[in-house]
Amino acid sequence: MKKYLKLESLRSADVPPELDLRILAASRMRQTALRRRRRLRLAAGGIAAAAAFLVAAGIGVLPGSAAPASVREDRAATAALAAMSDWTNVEQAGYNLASEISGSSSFFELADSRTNFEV
Amino acid sequence: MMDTINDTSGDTELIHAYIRGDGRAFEILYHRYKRQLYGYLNNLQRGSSIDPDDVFEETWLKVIDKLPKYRDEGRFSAWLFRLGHNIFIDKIRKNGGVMMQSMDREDMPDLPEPEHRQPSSEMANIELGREIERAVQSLPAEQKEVFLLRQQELSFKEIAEIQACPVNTVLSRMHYAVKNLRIFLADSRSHMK
Repeated sequence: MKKYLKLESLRSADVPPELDLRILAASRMRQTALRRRRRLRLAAGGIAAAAAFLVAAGIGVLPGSAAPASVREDRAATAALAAMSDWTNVEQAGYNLASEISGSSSFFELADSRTNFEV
Repeated sequence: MMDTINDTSGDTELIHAYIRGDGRAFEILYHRYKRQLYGYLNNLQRGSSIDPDDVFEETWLKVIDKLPKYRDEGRFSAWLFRLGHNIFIDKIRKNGGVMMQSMDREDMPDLPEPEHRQPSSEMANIELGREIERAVQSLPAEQKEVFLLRQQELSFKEIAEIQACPVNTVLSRMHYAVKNLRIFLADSRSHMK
């Protein structure tokens, strides 16, 4: 690069102090705003993560009262059906016994009628 | 880990520190370039109704605004002077555009880098300095700006980006600026005799 004559008065000048103050104050304000925005962004991220965790825990992990109404209704219906199923087993046993008894008596009735016919 | 910055840190280092949230980085940058930018704007605005303080303040406010998105393309000083130039031109246009009348001829030939005189001790005296200052103020606006930006050690390529014109145009403006200064100084010397 070739050398040129450098004249200080053409190169630089003193800046009034009040301009210095205004510009540096503006820079500080901007930095504060940037820092606040950065902190808000971090906080918002944390809140969103916590909310997502709570929702996930409520739906999938925690049992009972934390479950939504529709899930609670489903569980009640299943329990009722299970109870009905138990009742039916007992009844089935009683029914089977009754059939067995009535079947035996029918056999004897049939044998009697056959004897009467042969006579 | 945060790097420590100080007055000797490079511009790029300071800009990165500012983006990371270090307010001191801007203060160092500001103190490094404020006198140069203020000198450039003061010399550029002479002969116009533009207040250099307004342009100076607006330029730095724009720097504050744009620095977080600053892309490291070229020197910070060239970017700073470009911002200052653009704000100055906007103000000139709003005020009627009397300052930047082009003095370039359409048929101006593309010139190689002109020959320049080496600085010598006889040129360093104060009286001659004042004469040159007066001569610079008499130059057409574009020539004056090229001369002033060369005083800030900006390359012809950087000046071409600032003035939004080819490098050859900047070279011819510099050539004519020097030629005009010689004529002005010769005239002023002959009047003194």
